[in-house]
Amino acid sequence: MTDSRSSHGGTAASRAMHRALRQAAVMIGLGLVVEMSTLWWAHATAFLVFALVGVALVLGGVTRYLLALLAWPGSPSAGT
Amino acid sequence: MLTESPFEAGVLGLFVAITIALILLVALRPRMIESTGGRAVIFVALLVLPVLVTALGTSAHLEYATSTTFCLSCHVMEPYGESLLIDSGEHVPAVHVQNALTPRDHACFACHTSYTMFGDLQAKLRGLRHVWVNYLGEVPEKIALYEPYQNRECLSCHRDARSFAENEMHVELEAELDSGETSCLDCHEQIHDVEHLDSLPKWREAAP
Repeated sequence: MTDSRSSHGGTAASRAMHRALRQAAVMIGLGLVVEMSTLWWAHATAFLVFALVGVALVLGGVTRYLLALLAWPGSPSAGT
Repeated sequence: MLTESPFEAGVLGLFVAITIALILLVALRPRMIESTGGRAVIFVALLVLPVLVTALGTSAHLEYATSTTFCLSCHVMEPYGESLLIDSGEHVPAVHVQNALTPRDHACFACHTSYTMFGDLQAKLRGLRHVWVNYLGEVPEKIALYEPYQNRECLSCHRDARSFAENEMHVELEAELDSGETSCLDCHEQIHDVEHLDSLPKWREAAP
C-alpha cells in the first residue's frame, strides 16, 4: 500500500531515500554488533571500542536516517 | 558477559535480536517507507531500538567500570591490585579487602568513587588523558592521585561505626576531619605501598 508521499517525491527521491535507509541500517547494524561484542570483552579497552566505534556507528546511522527524513520531499519540513 | 544479572542480559539479548531482525528487514525492503505502517517500523528499527540498546549497553559498561577486574585490566594497575594482598594489619586497602570491609569485586571503586569517568568534568578529561598515555604515550614510573585523598571516602562508611565514634583521637579531630584540614591518611599512612611490594609478605597469591 502506498500513500500520497511517494508520488510527491518522484522516483529519484524515492531511490535516494531507499539508499539512505540501507546505509543507515548497515551503520546501525554494524554499530550494534560492535557494541554487543564488547559486552563479552572484560577489559578497559572494551569500553573505548564500545563508545568510540559502536556508539559512533549507531549515532551516525541514526543521524543518516533523520537527515534523510528531513530531505525527503514527502516530509513536512522539506515540502515548505 | 559484563553484566552479572541474567535478567539484564536476557532483556538486552532480546532487544538486540529484535533490533537486528528489523534492521535487516529495513535494509532488504526500504520501500516499506512508502506505507504508514512501514514508516513506523523503520522509526522503531532505526531510532527507538538502537538508542535503547545503546543505553542498556552503556549502563552495563558503566556498571562493569566499577569492578575490580576492570581497574586491574590495565597493566599499570596490576601492582595496586597486588597490594590488596599484603599480609599486614597496617596497610589500609589490604585490611579492607582481606576482611571484606569493602566488596572485593568493587574494591577500587569503593574507595575511589570520583575517579575519571565517575568524577567531575576535569576528572573525565584526565581519564581521556590516561587512555592516551596508556596506549600512545609513556606511563610515568610513579603514578599518584592528582589531588589529596578526600576524607569523605573514609567517613562515608566509618563515621557511624562504633570503632570510629569511640576512638578519642577521632572525636577530638572530628571537625578537622570533616573540613579536610587533617587527612585520615596523616595517621593511617600505609596505603598501597607499591614501592615495597616485592619485599612485603602476601596473604595469598591469587587475585582477591
